[in-house]
Amino acid sequence: MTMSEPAVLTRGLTKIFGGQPAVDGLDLEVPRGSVFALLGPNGAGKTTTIKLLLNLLQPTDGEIRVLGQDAVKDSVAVRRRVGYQAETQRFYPRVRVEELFCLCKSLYPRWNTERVTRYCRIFELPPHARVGELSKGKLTLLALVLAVGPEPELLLLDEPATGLDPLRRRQVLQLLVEEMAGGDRTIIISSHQLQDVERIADRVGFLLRGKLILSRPLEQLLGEEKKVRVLFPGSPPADLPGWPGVRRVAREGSHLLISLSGHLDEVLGRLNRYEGVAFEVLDQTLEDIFVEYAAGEEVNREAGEND
Amino acid sequence: MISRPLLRWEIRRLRWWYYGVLLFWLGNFIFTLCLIVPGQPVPVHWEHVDFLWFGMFWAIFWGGGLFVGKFRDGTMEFLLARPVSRREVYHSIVLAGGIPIVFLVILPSLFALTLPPWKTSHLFPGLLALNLLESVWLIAVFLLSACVYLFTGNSNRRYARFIEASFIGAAVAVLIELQKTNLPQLIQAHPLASLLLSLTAGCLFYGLGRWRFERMDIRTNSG
Repeated sequence: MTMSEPAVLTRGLTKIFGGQPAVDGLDLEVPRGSVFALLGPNGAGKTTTIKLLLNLLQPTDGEIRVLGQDAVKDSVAVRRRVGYQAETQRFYPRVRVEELFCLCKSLYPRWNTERVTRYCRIFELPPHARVGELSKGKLTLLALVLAVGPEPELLLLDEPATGLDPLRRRQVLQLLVEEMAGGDRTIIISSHQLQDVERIADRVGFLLRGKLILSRPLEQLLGEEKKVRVLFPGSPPADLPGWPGVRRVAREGSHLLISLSGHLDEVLGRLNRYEGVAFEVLDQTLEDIFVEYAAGEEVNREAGEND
Repeated sequence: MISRPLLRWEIRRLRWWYYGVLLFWLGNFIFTLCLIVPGQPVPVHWEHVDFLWFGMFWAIFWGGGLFVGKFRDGTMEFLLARPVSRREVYHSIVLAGGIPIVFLVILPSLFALTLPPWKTSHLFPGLLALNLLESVWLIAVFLLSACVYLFTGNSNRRYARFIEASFIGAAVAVLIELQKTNLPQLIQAHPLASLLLSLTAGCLFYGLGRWRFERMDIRTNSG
């Protein structure tokens, strides 16, 4: 194992449930020290991917390496270095919060009691309370504390802000930023709260029907993914959908809305050649890009099915 | 092989069941002692303090419930997301669940050891051996039950509940039949064959259950 090895590396990872692929030949590479956001619509395979990394699910095919170790053969060693917050929090309802901490402390080699106590104070988690008495939001926070307690090198967070009010969400993000400040740590976060993701992620991957359709640094993604609203005086050029970088052309009233993936200057240069053409470049948020990709792929799929 | 923190955790989780077993046994023990006429050298017939049948039902229902309960409430995922192997989890659940069943059966004869000889029946040494044999049988039944539920309980397969219900029905029917033929006497008549058979069955179900548990997907069932 070398430090240059990515935190997560999957090759041809496939998981089939009842004949349907939930993850389909996934080639994922998450560099160490990054905050990687795994995005995608419901049922895209995000949770399945995270569970495969922890060996909670057995892969049908493919290879998984987590922190330089085989996630299937060395799963215990991997989990020693990984913190995990599940999408739905299910603990022992009659057990007290401190008893859960006690169990985890006895199982992890590097359990940080001081940090856990501090986060419990910040999140107002009563250590003597029974888990079943906690609200949904408090359960989410408890899961997060349990995930960061072992000082993991890799933090897997599946919808970490579920059931949290905006104040708590901010606190959670702050916690994650603090976690990242602690050295060569990697976070993989799956969330539908795209504003939150935009605040902390430095790399984004889009999953759709179990396939990774995009994986790029967030800054690059936001820089390259643009929309251009164009008004042609006459009819638009027939070869417009084939221009470099053009992913989709949609009609918006009398205008055309061109979705671009890079090649902005080149497209603008071509537009300028048309006399009387009016256009404006629109920036996109991560949410816009997410919707754009998800919708675009849906259209492509439907077109493929119709063919 | 065995994670001590995990085993402690499982035993702690089941402590109320342990207390229940103890209480049940204690009640029967006091009842039996009440039968002794004070001052009379009448032996207590420990063979009548027999929890085999109660233990059988316990083994059938608890063997599966321990595993399936964890899948249904999602705590299995919580456990297996920690740095413990599936084998360690399997062993801790089986041990924590199996210990009280064994104790339930052999405790009467163990307790009889503490009584003066004139109070215990002449069958006593044979009874302890018989109880031990019975407890091996119970563990085999417990492991069979765990095995059946591991193959059906963590799936949303259409017929999983039907298979489970059939298993319980069949097991209860077999028990009733065995009761008619008087199982303890049968075991006593063929102790070696009984031991070999129960050990073989126990090992087989242990191996099958472990094989399944180490390869299954850990998914939380909704129902």
